[in-house]
Amino acid sequence: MKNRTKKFVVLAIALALLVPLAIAQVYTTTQVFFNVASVVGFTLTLPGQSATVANSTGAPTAAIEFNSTSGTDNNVDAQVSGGAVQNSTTPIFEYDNTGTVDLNISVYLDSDTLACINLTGATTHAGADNGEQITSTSNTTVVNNYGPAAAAQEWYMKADFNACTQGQTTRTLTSLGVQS
Amino acid sequence: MVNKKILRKVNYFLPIFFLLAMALLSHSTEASSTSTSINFIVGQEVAGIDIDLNAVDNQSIDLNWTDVPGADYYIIYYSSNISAIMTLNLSAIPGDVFNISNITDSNYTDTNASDDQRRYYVVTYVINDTEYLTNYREVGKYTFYYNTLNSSTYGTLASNRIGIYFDVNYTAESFLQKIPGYLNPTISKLEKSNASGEYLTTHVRGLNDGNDFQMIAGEGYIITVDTAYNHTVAGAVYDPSYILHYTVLNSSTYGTLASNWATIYDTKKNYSAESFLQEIPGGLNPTISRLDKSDGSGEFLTTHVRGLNDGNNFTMEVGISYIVTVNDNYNHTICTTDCFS
Repeated sequence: MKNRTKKFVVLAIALALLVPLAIAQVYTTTQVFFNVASVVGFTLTLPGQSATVANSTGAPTAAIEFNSTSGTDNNVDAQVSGGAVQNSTTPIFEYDNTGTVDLNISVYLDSDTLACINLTGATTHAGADNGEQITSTSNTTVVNNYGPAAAAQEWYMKADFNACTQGQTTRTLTSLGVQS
Repeated sequence: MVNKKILRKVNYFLPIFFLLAMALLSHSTEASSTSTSINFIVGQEVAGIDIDLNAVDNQSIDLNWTDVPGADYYIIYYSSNISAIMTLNLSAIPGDVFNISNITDSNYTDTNASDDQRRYYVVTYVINDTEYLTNYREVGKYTFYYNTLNSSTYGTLASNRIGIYFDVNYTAESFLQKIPGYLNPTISKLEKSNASGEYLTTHVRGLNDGNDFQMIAGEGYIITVDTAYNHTVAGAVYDPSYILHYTVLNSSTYGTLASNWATIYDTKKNYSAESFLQEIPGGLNPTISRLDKSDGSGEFLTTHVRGLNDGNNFTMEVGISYIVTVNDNYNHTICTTDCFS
């Protein structure tokens, strides 16, 4: 019994000596961030034109136009000024997400069209006949959650002219891409 | 002691602040955009192609058009059938439409234009093997075949009644300048007044005679030349409806001055004298006359009266002017349903 007591005391002392050693251990932690930049970027291509790279100030593209000979014409196809005309297989706009994040792309005008003109857009040629109206008061959605790996996004626009008088009016259409 | 406590708190919260900042940054309203100018054009054709008579041989046709960015090459379609050109469908080319392909420049000279009295053109372009119609106006040419019949009885019969129907701008002098001076060309238009009745105002090429009038499409004229000559006029096709204004002046000296010189445009419709007069109310008793000439009869008029089986129901042709008479003023709208637009 005496020996067992001695062994216990020795063990207790040994453990007691080890505790300060464990408490004295020090360490550091380093947080490692693997950063992929959130790049919001897209290009816009018009028929027969080079791709325009969007930027923060609104990169200008080639001008487009809608022609009505009589002043009353429905579903007039958009065309590049002096160039290609939109048709069922050639959209007037082709967007490409060149960034690293999903995008919501929309369009809007700087001011509304004349009252006799109705501008509409859709992702199909036929759909543009009765597509979403494009105005200056709200953004018209082209595509939402458009991923970088997704195929090019087509956009067709048509205009209805109703008893317009002869002349020419100009508007600026902004294509806006924001992160989804 | 206090500072150590603060430092420990800062050290504790700093990574959290950093993470929050990163999270906020990654969900910022970063945006990118493009801007596109849109032109809404009403009632205006887009200039894109010019047509001119070749200045060297006066019979070839020079075509120049605005370059289409990205086009691999161009194709010119042509035909004497204006309907075929004005309504050209690239997926179903009519048999009377021909083409010149693989034109890499934005101009072309048609040296065979003189093969047809009238020839119309439209330009297409090809990108990546896909062909597109341009929005360029259709253009064309018409050649007046002036003749000078030498009658054994009446001598030289040099009059030719003509009318222009393209969208062109000519004065009498600029028109005659396209005819060689050695042919001594003249041009006359019909006028009428109470004092003078119906009379001709005639301008002689190069002469400062005070008669250099403005020519109007749809109005008729008389051209005289010394010898036969083929005179080509080129321009854009005029498509919308147009009105021929017939007037009837009642002269106190000469009575009713009912003659009007008019020409027709090339449209979908083929007119005969009768079908033309059917568009004028019968109550106006309209008539139409064509100038003819022969060795035995000299220059004479073949006249058809509306609704009358007089054997003179001739076929009307573009480029020719006719005399139309009516009993009262009338605005005759042509091509209300036969235009192409």
